Amino acid sequence: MSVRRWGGEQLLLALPVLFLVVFFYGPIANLLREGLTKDGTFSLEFLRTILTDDYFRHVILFTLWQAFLSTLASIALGLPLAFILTHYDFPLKRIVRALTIVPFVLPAITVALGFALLFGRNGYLNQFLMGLFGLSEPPLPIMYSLAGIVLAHAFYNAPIITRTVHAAWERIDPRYEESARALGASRFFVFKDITLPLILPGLLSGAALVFLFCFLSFPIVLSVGGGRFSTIEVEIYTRVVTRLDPQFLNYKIGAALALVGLAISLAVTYLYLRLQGGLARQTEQLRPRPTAPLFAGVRDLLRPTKLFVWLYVLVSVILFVGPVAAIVVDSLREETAEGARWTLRWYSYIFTPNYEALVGDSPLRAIVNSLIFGLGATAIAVPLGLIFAYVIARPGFAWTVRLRRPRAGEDVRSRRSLGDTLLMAPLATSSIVLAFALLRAFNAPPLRLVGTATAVIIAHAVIIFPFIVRALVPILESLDVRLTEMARSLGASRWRALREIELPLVATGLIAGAVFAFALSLGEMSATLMLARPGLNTMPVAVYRFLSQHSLGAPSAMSVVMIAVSAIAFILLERWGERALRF
Amino acid sequence: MLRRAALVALCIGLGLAWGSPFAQVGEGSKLVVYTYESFVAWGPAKFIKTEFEKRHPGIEVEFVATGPSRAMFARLVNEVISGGTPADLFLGEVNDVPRAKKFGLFTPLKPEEIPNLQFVPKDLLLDPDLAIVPYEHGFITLVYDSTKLKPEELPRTFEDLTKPQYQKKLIVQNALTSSVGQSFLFWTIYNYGDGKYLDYWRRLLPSILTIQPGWSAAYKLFTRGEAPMVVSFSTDECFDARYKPLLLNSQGYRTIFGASVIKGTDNPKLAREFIDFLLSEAVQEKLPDTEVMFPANSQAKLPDKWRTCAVIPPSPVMIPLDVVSENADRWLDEWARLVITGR
Amino acid sequence: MRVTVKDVTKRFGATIALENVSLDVGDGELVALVGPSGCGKTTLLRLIAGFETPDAGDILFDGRSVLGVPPERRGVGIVFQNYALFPHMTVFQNVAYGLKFRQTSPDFVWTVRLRRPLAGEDVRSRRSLVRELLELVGLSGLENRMPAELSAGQQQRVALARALAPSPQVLLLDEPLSALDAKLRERLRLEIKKIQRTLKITTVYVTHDQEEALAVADRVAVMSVSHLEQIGTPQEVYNTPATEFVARFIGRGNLLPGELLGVDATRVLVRPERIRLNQSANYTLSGKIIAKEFAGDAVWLHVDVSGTALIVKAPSPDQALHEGDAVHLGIDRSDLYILPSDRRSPPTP
Repeated sequence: MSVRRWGGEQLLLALPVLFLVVFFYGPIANLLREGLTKDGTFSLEFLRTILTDDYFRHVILFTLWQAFLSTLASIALGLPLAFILTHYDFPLKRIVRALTIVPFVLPAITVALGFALLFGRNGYLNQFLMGLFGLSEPPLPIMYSLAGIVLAHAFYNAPIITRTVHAAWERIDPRYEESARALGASRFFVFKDITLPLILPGLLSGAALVFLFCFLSFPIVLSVGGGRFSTIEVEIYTRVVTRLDPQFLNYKIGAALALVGLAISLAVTYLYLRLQGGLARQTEQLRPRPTAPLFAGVRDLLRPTKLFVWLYVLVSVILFVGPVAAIVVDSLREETAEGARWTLRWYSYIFTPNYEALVGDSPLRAIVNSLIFGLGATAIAVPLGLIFAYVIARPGFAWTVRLRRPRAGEDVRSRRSLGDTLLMAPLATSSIVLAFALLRAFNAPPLRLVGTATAVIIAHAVIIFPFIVRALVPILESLDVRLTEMARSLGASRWRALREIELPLVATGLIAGAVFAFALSLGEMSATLMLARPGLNTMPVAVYRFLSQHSLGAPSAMSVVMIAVSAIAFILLERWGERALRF
Repeated sequence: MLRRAALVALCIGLGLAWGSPFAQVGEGSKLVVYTYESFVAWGPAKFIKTEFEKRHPGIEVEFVATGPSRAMFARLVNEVISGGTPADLFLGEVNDVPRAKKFGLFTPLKPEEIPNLQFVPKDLLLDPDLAIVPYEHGFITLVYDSTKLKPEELPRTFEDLTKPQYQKKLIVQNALTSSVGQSFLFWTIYNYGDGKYLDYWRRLLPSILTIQPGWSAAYKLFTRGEAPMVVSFSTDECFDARYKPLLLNSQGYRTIFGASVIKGTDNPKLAREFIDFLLSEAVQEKLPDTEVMFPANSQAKLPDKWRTCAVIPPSPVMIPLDVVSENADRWLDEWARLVITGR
Repeated sequence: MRVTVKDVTKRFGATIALENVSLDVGDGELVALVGPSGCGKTTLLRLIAGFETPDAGDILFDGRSVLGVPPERRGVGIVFQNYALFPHMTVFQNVAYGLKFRQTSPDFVWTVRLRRPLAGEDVRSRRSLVRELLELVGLSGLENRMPAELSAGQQQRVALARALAPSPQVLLLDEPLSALDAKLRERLRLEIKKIQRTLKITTVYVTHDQEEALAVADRVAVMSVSHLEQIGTPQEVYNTPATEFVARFIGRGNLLPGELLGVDATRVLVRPERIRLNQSANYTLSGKIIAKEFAGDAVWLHVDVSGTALIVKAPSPDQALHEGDAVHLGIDRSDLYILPSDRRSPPTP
């Protein structure tokens, strides 16, 4: 490679790399080191404890098991919607499609709250069913059980499956299916022999991502499961935050757990990236897939496919709309001695600047903090992520990083996946582990960040960074190199071409990425909870704190605010960010 | 390009400026009290703040109550280890004092430093060093919703509680984060003994609907009707006539809440005055209505209705503090194992 | 199997794709459906296949309406322009796919047999059938390749073999050769014709290339925007086009004003190859060569005659002609054709 390649580009790459090294790789490595030392010397003792002790094995296996079940449930819930979106036309289709972005922007804690309201033994749904059928016991014992955790995860992640499968399905040339039909295949065989194998890569890659998210899940396990369930993340949190011992053994155990958790999630990330790479490149499609109207008259309703579709619509409306509706309703009601009545007091309460000991802050401050942290994290992560994505997306990148030419027959793609995995490690790392690592790393001068807003902003920036990169890379990859070459041949300098040709073209994608990042930061609870101090609370943390209050009006009202912001985010993303959210 | 870099710098700057390290608070102008959430949500915090500030002009009292008592305790430990806490006082349960001593958290006090201490019965002063000064006490029992369970349906003993008809009918608190939960655990250990209590819990688990982080969260679910029984205090009927205490084995487990001065506080004198103020009749007479607990000051007058609604168990029990000190960590670990793995 | 399209109309929203189109394809006949993009020829094909339903009219196979019959039961084989080979299956699996559904149907006759089965040979064996088909299309030995490994021409032939495997009664080809380069196209269209002849299978062949249509078809159906202009043999369509559209679409031609030749008609159609250079004939015109295209086996001359441009095809070795040369063009009466629309009504007595 020519010397010229090592120029401004590589130096620019140093910025995000430096950021990651100082605020991610460094602290994580430090944390892992902590888990592997005892009294200052290398020791596998804690790791061995984690892997041999019955209790920790249970925790690890449970984490894997609930993630697996949640993935299956997400597939069961998300696949039919992908089918409906691909084959049918109906009013508000665009909005429904847009709603599949929601799980990326809705804070997990609001899901937990909505579930408690809707599915609690005394929640809206059980009450409704009990009243309808005159039962004495609630028929749906979902909360505080594994079923509850799995269902909440499915609610949260099914749209991801829908997105990936729908995207893959739309890319299938309808002529494959038509050829099969002409050859005599019934609809069933067409699906089994042709469609399914072709959407399988998309399905699997979506499933891998869902598995990862469920594996790393924290607020939902904590709130919906209750004290009888512990996953790796919950266990780390519990040990580090509440189970302190004077010898700090729990720190070590937490670090060892983090090590194991990280290993597993990196493996899953690698798998996901491999599956992603294997997805068929988009084939040029001359004819858009024909769609049939969803409502086609009463007689059509009785056809088995349609009947199933409508049943699914009913269930999914309850499941997807229910929790959010429950939150909105609850935010407007209050229990008095005479009974329940409508009120706006919760909203005036959460916008009050008065100090609330329960939050350690004023609720208004929590809202303001969320916005400021979000802006700060976005302002850091977006430029760094853009630089990073830009360099990765260039076709020459694979060469500049590799130190030697790939040997004949060597799978370039698998190597790329390996590198990608390491680069995407922040995605695979849970926020709990990250916060833990930052806590341990920045405990002392010169970088004494513990208890500062900076720590929170940085934690958020690290968390959202991989999402931004993954959103921007496909956009930048699709940028036609020839446009830049054209500009250069007309006399524009490298920077000028960048500024005037390339950036405007990726502008909408960039904005979408920024909006996405902001929404993610807004909804982040786990790391913030670990790093929380009075004055540093955000909305999700406030909601979590409010959850133990007697009435759920306050957390509901604050959740509605978060949902509203998320809604704005997702409308913008729907407009501009189709590519940005192509997972 | 340049503009963006400037923006980045700006935001980093903002962040740094905003989050000034939470080192020391102002010189004696603010008294920060860490306590459990129900003290603020239901309790007398507001009254105490108003009254104390009245008596000490120029002083601001700030309560921080972001979780149940043991979680707050852990938070305090965390902060102390990480280099500094803004807290001057801690209000918590007596069973955490041995732990606090291992971390060196609290400043031992002398009786003469707290004048109102003379009115506190000696049997409440469990810690000879006075690292904790009790301000209220009560008894941990089960509490049931009398509109949901008829007297003949009630469990009377610990063993009764494991019967199949009580499946998913009990809400308990997490012993790791809640002092009420911890007390309940100790109560079972008192009755079943070291080691064997685990076997009891194994049989009790099916009856438990959920384990909640603290008393507030558990009680919220209880009052919303998620389950008809919860671990709470024998005096709950004074709060709401529907919620009556259930004295398993005719017992109740003694619990004592007190205040401690945190070592290294900038305002030791003010902190002691605060503790004395907690023991004053003005505050103590507020406790039954707000905390629904018995005041520590024997001079304080109880509300009239407490003559009938407040239940004192015929056989209150409590594991001695030194036994707790030796075994609590192990017990909590064993219990946590059982509750998560079921074994 | 006779395929009849009777008075079919098809709309997509506000657009009319086909309007009152009728077509009759005889048993074993190859009809080419030709026309410019967007004229509806693909729609017509999809109606025959059953992927669309007409808004009006009927479609009959051997006199029986197939309107309620789904595509998988119509017994049609279809080859798309992009071949649509199943990318996750081998060549063998692609070709054998249709056999899963048709093999046991008693209605269908083995039309593929090229030779008598040998004694003891399992006539029905799928493997042997697939192999025979691949042999038929000239792709023996490629059973285990994946479609992505094949060239375009090979893919096209696999698509054809796949469509033929279940012994369809009707073969539908939707621009099967459009994606290939010129030489390959010429070669393959003859092969397709040969296979079609051998199997005697009723075929509808859609193409936008009129030359291709003339080369392969028994009859040509010319379509323009949603309706049929003319159906006839290639010769009929070429020599006696029914409308101006057909005249312009099929082959190259000259539509000259009647006055230029002194013929009593609005316009006159003269094919370029019929014009004689520098020879006398019934009608003679003089003009100047304004452009010259060398086409290897011929020379195309653009000649200006009194302001009207003509195209003349001259066999190449004979003429040494250059731009700017003056030429005489000779046209015989038998070389003329007058479109029905251009005929003047006979003078009233």
